[in-house]
Amino acid sequence: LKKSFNGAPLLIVDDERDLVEILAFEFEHRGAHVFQAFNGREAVEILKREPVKLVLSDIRMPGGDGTGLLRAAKQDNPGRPEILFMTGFADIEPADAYELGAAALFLKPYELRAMMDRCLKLLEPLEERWARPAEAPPARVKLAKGFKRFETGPFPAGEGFRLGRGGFFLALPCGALQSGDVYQDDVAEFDLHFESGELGAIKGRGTILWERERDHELASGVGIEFCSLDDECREAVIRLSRQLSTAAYVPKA
Amino acid sequence: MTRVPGAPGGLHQIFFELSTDLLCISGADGYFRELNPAWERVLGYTVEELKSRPYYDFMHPDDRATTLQMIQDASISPEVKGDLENRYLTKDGRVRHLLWKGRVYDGPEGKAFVGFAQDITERKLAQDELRAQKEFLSAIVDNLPVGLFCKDAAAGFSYTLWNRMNEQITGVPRGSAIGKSDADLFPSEQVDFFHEKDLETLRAGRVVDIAEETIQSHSLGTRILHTRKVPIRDENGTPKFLLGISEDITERKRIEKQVWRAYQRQKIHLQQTLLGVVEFDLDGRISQWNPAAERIFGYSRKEAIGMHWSALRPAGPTSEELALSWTGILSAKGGTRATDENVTREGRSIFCEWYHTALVDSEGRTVAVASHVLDVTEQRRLKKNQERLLSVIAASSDLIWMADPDLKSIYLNPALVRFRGIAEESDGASRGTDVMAAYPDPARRLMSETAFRAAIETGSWLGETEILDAAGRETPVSQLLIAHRSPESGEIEYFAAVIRDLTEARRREQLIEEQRLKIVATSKMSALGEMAGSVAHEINNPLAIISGRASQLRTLAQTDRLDKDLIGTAAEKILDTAHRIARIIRGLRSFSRDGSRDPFAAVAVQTIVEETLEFCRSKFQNHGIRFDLEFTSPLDASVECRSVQISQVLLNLLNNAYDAVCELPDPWIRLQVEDRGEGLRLSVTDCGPGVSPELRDRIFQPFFTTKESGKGTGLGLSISQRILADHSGRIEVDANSPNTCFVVSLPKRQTPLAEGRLQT
Repeated sequence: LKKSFNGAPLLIVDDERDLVEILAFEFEHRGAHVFQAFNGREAVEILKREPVKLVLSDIRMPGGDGTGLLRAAKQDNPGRPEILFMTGFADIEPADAYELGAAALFLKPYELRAMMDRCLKLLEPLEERWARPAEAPPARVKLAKGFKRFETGPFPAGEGFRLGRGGFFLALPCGALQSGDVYQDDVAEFDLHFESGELGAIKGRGTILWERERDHELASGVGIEFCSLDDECREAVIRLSRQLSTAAYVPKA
Repeated sequence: MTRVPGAPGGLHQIFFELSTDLLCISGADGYFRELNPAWERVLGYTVEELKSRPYYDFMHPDDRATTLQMIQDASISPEVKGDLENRYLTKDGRVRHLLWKGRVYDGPEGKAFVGFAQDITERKLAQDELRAQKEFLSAIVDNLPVGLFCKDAAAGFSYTLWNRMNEQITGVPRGSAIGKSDADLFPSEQVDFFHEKDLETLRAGRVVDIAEETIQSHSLGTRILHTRKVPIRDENGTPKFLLGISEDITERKRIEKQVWRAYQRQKIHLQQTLLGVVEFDLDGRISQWNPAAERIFGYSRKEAIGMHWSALRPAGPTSEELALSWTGILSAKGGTRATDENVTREGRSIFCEWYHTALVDSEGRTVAVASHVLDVTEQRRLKKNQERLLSVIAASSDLIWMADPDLKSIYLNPALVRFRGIAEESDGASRGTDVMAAYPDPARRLMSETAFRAAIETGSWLGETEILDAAGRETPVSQLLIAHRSPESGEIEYFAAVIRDLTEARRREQLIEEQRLKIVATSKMSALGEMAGSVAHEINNPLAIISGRASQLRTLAQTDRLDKDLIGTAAEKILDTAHRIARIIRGLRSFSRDGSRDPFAAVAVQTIVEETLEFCRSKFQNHGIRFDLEFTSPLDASVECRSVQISQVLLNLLNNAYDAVCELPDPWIRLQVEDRGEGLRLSVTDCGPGVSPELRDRIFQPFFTTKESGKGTGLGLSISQRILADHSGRIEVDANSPNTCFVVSLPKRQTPLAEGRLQT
């Protein structure tokens, strides 16, 4: 591994002590400064004391679960620390996890390398994180849409569009994504235009975190995490995402 | 100077000249020979003028013939029979009446008439006047509107006067009454009364007023008279006559009686009527106030009289407005009807219906206002209620009709009118039509054979029929048929039906049933998913540990940091974790089978319990639920059962307990296993507050669940109950436990009968 955590303070939380021990070993091996906790309450205590930048947490735990930890951690600053969930089974819908503010969701047994890459990426400042990569894999999905107006507010939004700290929700008509295919984790190229408002366009590439056919009263659509943003819009999007008053990483709707 | 013949010149001459009577001698030639001066005074002519013409020139022309005749007669017979009376005319043309005495005298100058006349003009006039007066009086007497009679006190009170009115009253003509006394004319008891009053009048010497006396009229029957009797005295002051003045008051008495009765009746009405009767003077002050008004407004008569009508009105309108409405009442032709808000003495607001009538005198001037007032507060309230009810019926989406006992419609609500496609404006036309026309034949039969009979007997009938819509399609409906009886007579007054279109309800029911089936299917899926989830969780954690250890070993190997201890520890952990996974898989395998066709086999209770707990222990742990296992039976106690099914029952109870307590503070769950000799008692208790008595039976019904939607199938307990019935056991709620406690009782050995039965 070329990159290193450079002493970045991390917190690992799980009631399986073995797992915490193993993960701590691996992260420390890559230069991270790891704090360990075995339930949510312990984790919250550590967060109060230590300048943790990133938390990797199980969800189901006796003595304070992961979602409670997330809420407590995001109470003061929706931007820091980044919280990543790891879980044995679908304890939480991905869309709900991102809406709450989680920046990633890993399923056990996890792939350590992917988990580490993701953590490193999330520790980068947004300007670097969302910079255009030299080469990118081809996008399977292309999303282009024009909007009347870009509205700022708790969620900067357009009709059927909502911006989060790490991506956006885009409403798509039912069946717009070809049924049968699974697009989750696919790369999408997006090109969204606003006729008026603070932002003229959002253009770039992202990962499809989840897709939804109509669910109760929620519109069908996709949750997309930014991978890279074009130069013209990057600064504006970064500014907007920093102004967000909510924790949502990718809004649910 | 005329010389008086045959008399000594001087003395006769003096008599002749001084006499105030008229003296004359006239000859057969028709001329006066001698006249005394009295003639000049009476007739205004001089003696010479009188002598110059024939004397009959001076006579009234009408009297000339008779006078000459008499003079001729007198010349035949010297004795003048009777007096001669004739008229002379004075020089200025007036008539003088003369009364003559005379004789024919044979004198030296031939036959002459010696006459002696008295001027009786004044007397004559007086007599005429007297006669006229008398006639006038008797005309008055006869035409008086009262009966007038006079009795002669000295002559046995016989009647001397009897006027025409008296004839009418008594029916006795004057001729039959004059000279008669009461005894001749009237019944004896009346006569006694009259006589007594006659005597009283004479005794008293003044007018006696008899306010009422009864008399038997000969023509009119019994009459009532008002009579005054007046004594008339002679010059000595002795009462001589008795004048009676009678007035027939029979009619007046009758009218008076009628008026009195009417007055009494009216008074009773006024006192008894529920209608307030109030009179106002022109200023609007109360002058009449009956008991009903007292009741309505709370003011006694004493308080109300003199009160201004505005005191009965609520505060608010200005005095001008009040004056205006008062003027309106006064000037209205006929009556004014008004419903006003009024205020009682206690300040209670009431609604009254007023009917004001201006009272006018004979000249048409308004003198007062008479008003009738009725407290309609309650009526208004009832009416409002009724209107409200009616609006509810009108707004109802149910179809409603009312019909008379012959089933002719009285009312159809708008929903029914629309449903039947009756034109809205012909609402009136739909009245009186046969309501049964709305029903198809089978429904009609059902209604006539069953529904109406039941409604008539019990008051109502509820059932399902069909009704025809506007297009004549049969529509399924539920129908409440009501037979309303008059509370007084008990007769059926009307029928009413409340009809609900079931098309939609049927569709919905069908939909609900479909959805229910879907839910059952989904919940089976979700139960399966839940199971899979907890299994995945149980397995994925150990897998993460195994892969983590492996990765750790790899990292160590890459960095040349492997040593014996590290490798040993890692391998130990990997083995433990792999065993953990194997245990879970074993439990899953035995659990995932249906088990309902397994043979009954003796299995150690502990094995069943341990294998079951494998699925939920970590779940409890993860959610901070304290779990206690109490074994009071020998560890090797065995039970003859289908172990998979019993495990299902236990897991279901434990999962239920988990769902019930996981949100509670400080949660705990306890599983107790007791050996009761013949059987085992397994109880699952949690910290919940128990099952309410109402729910105790229902929770065993299929699909009953208190869990939030999607979480439970509502089948667990009913399946458990069936499983235990198969095992001749029981599952029940321990109502005596302060916590939620389910108890499973299971016999240790199955009887051959039970086994046999179950295997068929």
